[in-house]
Amino acid sequence: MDGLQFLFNGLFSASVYGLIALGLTLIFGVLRVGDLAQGALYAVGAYVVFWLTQFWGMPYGLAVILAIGMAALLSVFNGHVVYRRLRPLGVGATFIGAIALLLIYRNLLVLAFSWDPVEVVSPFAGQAWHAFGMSIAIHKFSVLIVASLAILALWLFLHRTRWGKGLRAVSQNEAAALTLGINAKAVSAMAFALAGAFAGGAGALLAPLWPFDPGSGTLFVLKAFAIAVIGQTKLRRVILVAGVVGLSEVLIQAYWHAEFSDLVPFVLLAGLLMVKPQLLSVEAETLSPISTTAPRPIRIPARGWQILLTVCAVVALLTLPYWLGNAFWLHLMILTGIFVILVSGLDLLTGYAGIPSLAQAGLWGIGAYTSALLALRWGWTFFPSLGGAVLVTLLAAWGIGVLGLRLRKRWTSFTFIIGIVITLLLESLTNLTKGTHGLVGVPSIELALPGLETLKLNPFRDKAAYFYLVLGMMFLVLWLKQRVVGSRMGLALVAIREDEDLAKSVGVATDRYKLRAFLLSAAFAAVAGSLYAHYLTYLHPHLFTFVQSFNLFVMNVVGGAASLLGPVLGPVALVLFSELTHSIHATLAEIVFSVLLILVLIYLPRGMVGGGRRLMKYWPRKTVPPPLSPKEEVVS
Amino acid sequence: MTLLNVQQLCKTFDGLVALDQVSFTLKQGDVLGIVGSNGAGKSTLFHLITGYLNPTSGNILFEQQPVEELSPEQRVRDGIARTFQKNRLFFGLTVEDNIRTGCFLSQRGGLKRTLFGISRAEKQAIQNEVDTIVALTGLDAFRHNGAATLSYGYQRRLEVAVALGAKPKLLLLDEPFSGQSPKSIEEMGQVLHGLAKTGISMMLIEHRMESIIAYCNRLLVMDQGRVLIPAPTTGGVVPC
Ligand SMILES: Nc1ncnc2c1ncn2[C@@H]1O[C@H](COP(=O)(O)OP(=O)(O)OP(=O)(O)O)[C@@H](O)[C@H]1O
Ligand SMILES: [Mg+2]
Repeated sequence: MDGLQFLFNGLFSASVYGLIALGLTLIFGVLRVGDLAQGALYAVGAYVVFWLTQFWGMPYGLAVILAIGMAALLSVFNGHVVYRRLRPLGVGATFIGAIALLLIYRNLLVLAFSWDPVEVVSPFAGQAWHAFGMSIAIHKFSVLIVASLAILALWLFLHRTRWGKGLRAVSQNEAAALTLGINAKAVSAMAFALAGAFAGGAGALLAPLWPFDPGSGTLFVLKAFAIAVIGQTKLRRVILVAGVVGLSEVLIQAYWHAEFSDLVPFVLLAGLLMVKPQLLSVEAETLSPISTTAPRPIRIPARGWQILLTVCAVVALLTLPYWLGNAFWLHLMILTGIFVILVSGLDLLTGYAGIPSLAQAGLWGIGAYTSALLALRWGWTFFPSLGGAVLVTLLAAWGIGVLGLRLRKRWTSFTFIIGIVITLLLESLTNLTKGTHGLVGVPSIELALPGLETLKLNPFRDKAAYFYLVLGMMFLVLWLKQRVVGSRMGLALVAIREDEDLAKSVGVATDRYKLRAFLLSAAFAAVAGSLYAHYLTYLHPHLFTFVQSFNLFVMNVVGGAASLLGPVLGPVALVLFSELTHSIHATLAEIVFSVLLILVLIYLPRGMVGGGRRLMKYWPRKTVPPPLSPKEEVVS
Repeated sequence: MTLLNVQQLCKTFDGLVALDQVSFTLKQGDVLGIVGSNGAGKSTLFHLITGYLNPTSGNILFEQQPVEELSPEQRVRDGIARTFQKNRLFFGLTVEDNIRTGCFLSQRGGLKRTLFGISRAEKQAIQNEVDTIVALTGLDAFRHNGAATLSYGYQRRLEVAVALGAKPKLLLLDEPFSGQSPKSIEEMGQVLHGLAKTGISMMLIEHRMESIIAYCNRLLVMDQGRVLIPAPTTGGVVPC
C-alpha cells in the first residue's frame, strides 16, 4: 500500500470514529456520562438495514434512513425513560444503567437474529476506483463523504442555529441555561436523538462492508468513548484525535501486529494521562462538589442473635457438600465463593471509599493468568503460584492506581478503559497467553501437606476439597475486610466517600488510602484468580472482560454495598438466578436480568441488605449505637 | 511568637489575578478577621494557606517552617485546620461520627491495630476527645442525629467541631456566621469565644463588621486580591 491508500483508509476509519465520538460528546454534555448503549444502537442500525433489505426488499438507501430514525428514537427513549431516573443516583449508577441497556439491546438482537453473522449487499457491491495505484471501494468512499458531511452539518448546527446554541449552553451550565429560558428537556432529547442517529447511521452505512453480529459496534463505541475523553469532549479536538487514531491504526495494521491496532485509542489515552493527568478532570476548580450519599438505616441485631446466626451459617456452609450431594451444585458454590472474594474486594472501593472500579475483572484475569503460567511454565505448585499472582497483580494495580486515583470523578471511566486494555492485552500477547485460543491444561491444585504425600486435587472428582479451600480463603478475605473496615483505614475510606476534600481537611491522606484500598481489592482479585485458574484448568481472555467487571459491580449493588453480608448475598443471588434462568432461555434470562438490574438501581439503591434492614424493624437490637453508625433513615 | 508568616503571596487563575502580593503575620493567640467584597480573594487565601491550591509565587511560613510544598493533610498534621465557605460535612454520618472522623489524627493505625483491634483505653481516649468537642460546641442534644438532618446553623457549628478534631494551632473559618439567624450567630460566637480562650489562633472571613469587632483582635481588609492598608478600625480591633 502506498501513502495515498493509507490516507484514504485512515480517513475512512477516522470519519466513522469521529461521528460516533461526537454523538457521545453531545450526550456527555447533557448527561455527564459516556452512553455505552450507543454501541447497541450501532448494531440496531445495521440489523434494521439487514431486515428491511433482506425481508422486505427495500432499497438500501431508504433502509438506511429508516434505520437512522429507529436508532434516534431508541436513543431518546434511553435518555428520557432510563437515564433521567438514574442520573440523580450518581454517575456510577448511570454508567451501570448504560451497560445494562447495551446488554438488553444486544440480547434482543440475539433473540431476533441469533449470533450468526449476517451480511448486507451494497448497491455499489464490487465497484471500485483504481487511480494513482490505489483501489477505493465506492461504498467506502461514499461512507467517508457522508460521515464528513454529517460532521460538518453538526458543526454548523451547533454554531449557527438557535437550537444548537441552546445545546451548547446546556452543556456548559445547565442551571444557567434554564434561567435563559432554554428548554433543557427538549435540548437533551435532541442530543440523544442526534447521537443515536450517528451511531445507528454508522451501523447502517458500515453494514455492507463486513459481516456483523449483535455484538458488533461495541468495540467501535468503546474506541469512540476513549477518543471523546482524549478530545476532552470538545468538538474540534475530538475530530483531530479521531484522525490520529484512524491513521495510526492503519499504519500499525500494515507495519506491525494487526492485533495491536485495536489498542491504539486506549494506549493513547493511558499514555497521555501519564504526562497530563488533569486531562480527565471535568471541573476546573480543584474542589469537587459535595457527594450526596443517601442515608442508611441502622438495624443491628443484638449480639446474641448475631453469634447464633453466624454459627448457624458457618455450620451450614461446612456441611454443605454432604447435603448438597450434587456435583453441579457444589460447582456453583465454588464459583460463588470465588465471586464473594472478588466482590468483597470491590466493596472496599465501591461501598466504603465510593470509588467503584470496573477494572476488577481485568485484575482477576491478571491474577488467574499469572498463577496459571507460573504453574504451567515453571512448574510452581499452588501456593507459590498464588503468591506470585498476588505480587504481579499488586504491581499492575499499583501502576493503575497511581495513574488513575488522582482523577477523582473520572476514576470509574478510567478503570473501565483499563479493563478493556487488559482484555485486549490478554488477547494479543499470544506468545504468553495463547490469545483467543485460550490457555488449556492449567495444573490443578497440589497441596503439599507436611508429613503426608502431595495431594493432587482433581477438579472433577474432588469438588468438596475445592469447596473447602475456596471457603477457607473466603473466610480469610471476609475477616480481613471486616478488620480493615473497623480500623482507622475504614474510617478514612468512609470519610473519602462522604467528602474527599473534607477528609483531607481532617488529616486523611486520601490518595494513600485510596491506593491502599485498591491494592487490597487487587490482592483479593488475585487470590480469586488463582483459585479460578487452578479450578477451571482453562483460561480465556473473554472470561475477564468489562462485562464481567460489570457483573461484579452488579453483585455488589444488588447484595448491598458497604456491608459484610452484601458482597456474600449478591453473588449467591446472582449465580443462582443466572443458573436457574439460563437453563430455561439464556438470552431471555440476560434481558430479564438487565431490566431487573435497572429496576433495582432505581427502587432499591441499598441492595438486598438495605431492603432486609428495612424489614428488620422489629428485630431485637442493641440500644447503644455502634461505633461508626450511618445515620437513621429519615422519612420525608 | 509568630505563628504564621505570609510573604508576597500571589495567585493567578488563567490570567485572572486572585491574590496580589499579600503579606501579613499572625501571632499566637491572634484572632484575625478578614473582610472584603465578593471575589476579593479571601477564600483563595485560605485555599493557599491550607494547601488546597498552590501559590503562583510567594511563601507561607508556619512556625517558621515553609509549608508551600506540603499537601493539605500534612498541613493539618502540622496544626492548620479549616472549614469551607460552602457547608461541607460527612452528610451520611451522625454528628458523633462526624466528630470522630474529625479526630482522625488522634487514632492510630498500623498493621497490628488493623488486624487485632485497638485497646479499650485507646477507644476510651478517642471517646473522651469526641465528648469534649461535643460539649465545647454545644451539640450534645444532636449526638446521634444524622448530619444532614441538622439545621443550617447547627451544621455550621458541626463543621467547626469537625475541624477541632485535628487539635489545630491555627483554625481558618470561612464565613462561619453566614446564612444564620441572629440567635445562631450569637451561639456560634460563644463557641468562638470559648476557643479563643483556649489560646488557639484563628482567622475568620466575615462580611459583617459587628462580628469582626466582637470576636477579632486584628483585621485584614482585602480588595481585588490586595491587602488594603491602613484598614478601617474601631474599638479593640487592630489592623495588621
Ligand atoms: N478555581 C478557580 N478558577 C478560576 N478562578 C477562580 C477560582 N477560584 C476563585 N477564582 C476567582 O478568584 C477570585 C477570588 O475568589 P475568592 O473565592 O477567593 O473570593 P472571595 O473573596 O472568597 O469572595 P466571596 O466573598 O464571594 O466568597 C474571584 O474572581 C474568583 O472568580
Ligand atoms: Mg469566599
